Amino acid sequence: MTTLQHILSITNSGLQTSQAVVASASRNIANANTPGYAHETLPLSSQLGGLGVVAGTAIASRNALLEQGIAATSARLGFYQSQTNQLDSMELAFNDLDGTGLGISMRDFESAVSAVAANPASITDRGQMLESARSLAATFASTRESVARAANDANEQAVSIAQEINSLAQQVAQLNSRIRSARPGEERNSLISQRAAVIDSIGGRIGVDVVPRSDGTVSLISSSGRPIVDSTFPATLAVNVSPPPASEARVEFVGEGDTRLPAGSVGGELGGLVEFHNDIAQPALERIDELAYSFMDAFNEAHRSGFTLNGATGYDFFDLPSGAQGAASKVALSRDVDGHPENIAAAADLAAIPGDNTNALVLQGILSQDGVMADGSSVVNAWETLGSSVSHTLLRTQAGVDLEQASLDQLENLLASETGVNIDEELIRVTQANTALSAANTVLQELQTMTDTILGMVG
Amino acid sequence: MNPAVAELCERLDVHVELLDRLVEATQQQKKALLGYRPGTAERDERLSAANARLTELVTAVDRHGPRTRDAADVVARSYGQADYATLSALAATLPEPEREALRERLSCVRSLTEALAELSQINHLHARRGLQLVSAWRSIVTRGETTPTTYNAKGRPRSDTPTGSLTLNI
Repeated sequence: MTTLQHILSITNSGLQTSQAVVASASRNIANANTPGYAHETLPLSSQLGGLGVVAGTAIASRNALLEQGIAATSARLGFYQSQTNQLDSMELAFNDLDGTGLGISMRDFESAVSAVAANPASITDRGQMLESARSLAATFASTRESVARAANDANEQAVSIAQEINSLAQQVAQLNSRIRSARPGEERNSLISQRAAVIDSIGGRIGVDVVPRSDGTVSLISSSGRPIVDSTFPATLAVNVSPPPASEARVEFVGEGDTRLPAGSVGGELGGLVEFHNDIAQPALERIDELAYSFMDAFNEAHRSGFTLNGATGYDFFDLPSGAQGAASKVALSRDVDGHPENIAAAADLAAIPGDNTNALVLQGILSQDGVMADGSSVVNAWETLGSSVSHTLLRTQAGVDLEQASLDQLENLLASETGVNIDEELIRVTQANTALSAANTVLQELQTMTDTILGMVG
Repeated sequence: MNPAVAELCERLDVHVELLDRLVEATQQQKKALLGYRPGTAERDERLSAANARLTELVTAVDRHGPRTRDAADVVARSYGQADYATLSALAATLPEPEREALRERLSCVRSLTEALAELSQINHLHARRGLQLVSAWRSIVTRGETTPTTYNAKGRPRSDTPTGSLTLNI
């Protein structure tokens, strides 16, 4: 090959390679902030016969280990975050710091009963006691409603997230299909980046293990071992709540045999919401109902044994519902005492009416009396334990959020430093490259002048 | 052999040695330039090392050139040649074996210089291509902004923005 052809060949290969390298750099810069994008490099090699340079297939810098770590951490973060959000709103119902709440109402009612005990003949104090009982009933109902709303919200969000997961699973399956038929290089790398971003989203919502397959597709496996996406086949999830009294939220595969995902095997936001619904909100609802029912039952029993101002006995104070389920929303005064303050049975001795307060003192102590609840505790203690349990769970999930968020930030930084695109670094590289090439250009110009001089001298 | 011719031959031998090293250094530079792309620090270092070596050798040749020219003048005077256009023309006027000895060295110098010229042209092409690449790369990184925005210690844009740091010498 002549020198001219040699030079033209090198120039041509150089120009083509330049275009490929610039296109690759352009994709890197354009995708600097694209989630899931991995920095792309273009391997270059000498053309056969040393006639210039040829660009190979673009390679995306991916780190499977870090990506798996991020997916797992995102799932745990989603789990704790969703529970924290729900607990934040539910905790308000258990928090008496604003001067309202069930604990305050219980103490107010105790005070009202205490006032009747201090002055059993006072119709005014008896009227105040009835008013306080109505207030307590309203607080029981509103507290139950808040918790029921939190449970319902969690369920609705879980249904919505399941739909999002279904949509994302379809996207992954479609991307899998396109990746399988894509040529290696730019197009395939771009599709893999898109898929990585979608998998991140799914991971945060349910928690999946990513299992790569030899054809370039991946399967997403749930913690139970059932695939959410099996290569190009997406599964469909649904969240259903069993009828009361169980009212258990269940995650199920649609249209398959035994499809229920076992409790505790669902991760991510969906797992957090389902666990919140089943293990926090529903038990709290049942406990509040039990509190209300046990209190009314014990109060009625004591009340029936006392005597009214008119000497009557055997009256219920509360209208006791037929069962504990929903009792907190059904607390109401019995027809015997509602509007009849004289029928409050404050006396234990018929002969000592109206000055006897013996039964009023018993009624005053019902809320704090051990053994009223089935587990042997008092109503007040049971309420405080429930409140502190909710607060403790909230603190635990908040700590989980902080921990997992810090881990996620660190892992994402590690991944970004390895596979991401840093504009500042690119600019530094450009400047360094410019310096080196300009120096080469200068010295080559001197070299050409020198060779001209020598050839002129030699002749 | 005529001592003046022997002296000139020695000077030309030094030239041959320097040119030989220059060819080697230019080949090293070619390796660093071939398929050049920004962001490969190792390649940048190799290119900078090759540039430094070439600069050193070019300086040595420039320093050595006048001595060769002086030695040739002495030869010309000793053979009564008032003027000569090239060293080849001077050699043609010399008797054997001085003529053959000089021609042999001049042939070496010529072939090495021609090889060097060809290599440097190829390297020049690679360097220009690399600089075009850097230019395109820079416009991508800066999104077409030719003046880099820099900030002072208080976080305000500098009024005395340094220029030239990104000037491309194509």
